[in-house]
Amino acid sequence: MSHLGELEQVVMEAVWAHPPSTVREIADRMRGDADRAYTTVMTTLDRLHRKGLLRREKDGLAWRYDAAMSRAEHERLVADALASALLAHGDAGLAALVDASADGALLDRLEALIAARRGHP
Amino acid sequence: MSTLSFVLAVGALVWPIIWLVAALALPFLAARRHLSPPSRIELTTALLLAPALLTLTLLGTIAAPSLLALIDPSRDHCLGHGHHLHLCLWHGAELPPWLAWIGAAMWTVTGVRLTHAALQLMETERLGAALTALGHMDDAVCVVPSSRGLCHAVGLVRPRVLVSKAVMERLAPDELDAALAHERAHVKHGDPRWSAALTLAAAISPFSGWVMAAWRDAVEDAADDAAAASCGGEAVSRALIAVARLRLEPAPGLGLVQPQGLERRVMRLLAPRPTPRGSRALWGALALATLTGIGIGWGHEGLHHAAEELWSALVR
Repeated sequence: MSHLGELEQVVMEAVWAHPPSTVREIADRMRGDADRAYTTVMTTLDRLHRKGLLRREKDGLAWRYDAAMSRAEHERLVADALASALLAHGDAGLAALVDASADGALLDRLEALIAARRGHP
Repeated sequence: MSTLSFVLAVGALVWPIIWLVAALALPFLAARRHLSPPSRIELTTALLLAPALLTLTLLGTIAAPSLLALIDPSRDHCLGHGHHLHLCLWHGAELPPWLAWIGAAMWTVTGVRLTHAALQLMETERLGAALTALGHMDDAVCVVPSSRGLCHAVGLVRPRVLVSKAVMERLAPDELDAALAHERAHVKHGDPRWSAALTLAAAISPFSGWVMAAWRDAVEDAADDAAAASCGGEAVSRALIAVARLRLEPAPGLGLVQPQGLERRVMRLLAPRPTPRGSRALWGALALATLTGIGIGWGHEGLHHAAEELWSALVR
């Protein structure tokens, strides 16, 4: 799951705000500060559809787009991807509570040790 | 060509000295076993910074006469070099091919290591900023909507704690307090910034992997102690285990498995604390660096000529 580009984010916001929508409806909503050409919006919607972030179905001659997941679900997926990247990235410029993964048997043993100490302070 | 020959000659002269100094400093790492975490941090910081500072000092000393001649031509030392070879930015250096290759190799290795370290730091900043943008910040703690076991102190410009929702939900209240106290200790002491600075310093110095690992152990122990002081050693131990369990859950591309680090920390937190010995290693190193700087400012010409003598001995 990649981070969205600026325009992709704006288009996704528009779809999340008014699902499902056609290209024309989304382009009309984006008029103003971030005025975009109809074809630019259409290309962006098509790209988001190919990325699996939007579903679409025919509505007459036009496509009607809907979000494949809620904004919260999407943010969680992006955060998971970024967090995994950070965990795999190494430790330059940061400090981690636990700097590496351990095996379950060791964690069981350490938990048993803590429980035993609690029983016999 | 003359500038290139000077740069290659300096590479062939300086880096072997740094490698030798770094190798000689390595045994001092063994002294850390008897020291408290703050003293270990000072010792390892000094051991990481010393080769980098010495590198800058040597480079500055060797280049100083050529650069000073630009400002004040009377400082030009290019005349009267009958007794030894001449190392000069403008006139170059007598450079046998085998030393040119050594110089080129030394600069290449250092350049690659520095570039790699800088790219790593930039990527950490990028990932940290992207995660912060997705999260909710409250009092230097950013809660990120992730199911991964994320509990990190990040940020060169704005140090902060990144903690995932999964950690917030899965840890018991006292474990969460302990985990956040640990990370806040990192933020309070500027550990992400030190980590960045020492990562760059370590890129200049050989054998720095061991020293950097010892610095990380010391920094984690110090943060463990800070958290244990407010939440208790057992709560910190349980927090470490709980976050390690979250890290066990499938996630692409997790880091190396180094369970001995976790086991050592838990055993240390549960053990009774002996009173550790103190150290002034960092202050000592900084004082030495300051005195060296003053000495070089005063006697840089002598040091420059000493470098030229050494170069003469190598070449002739």
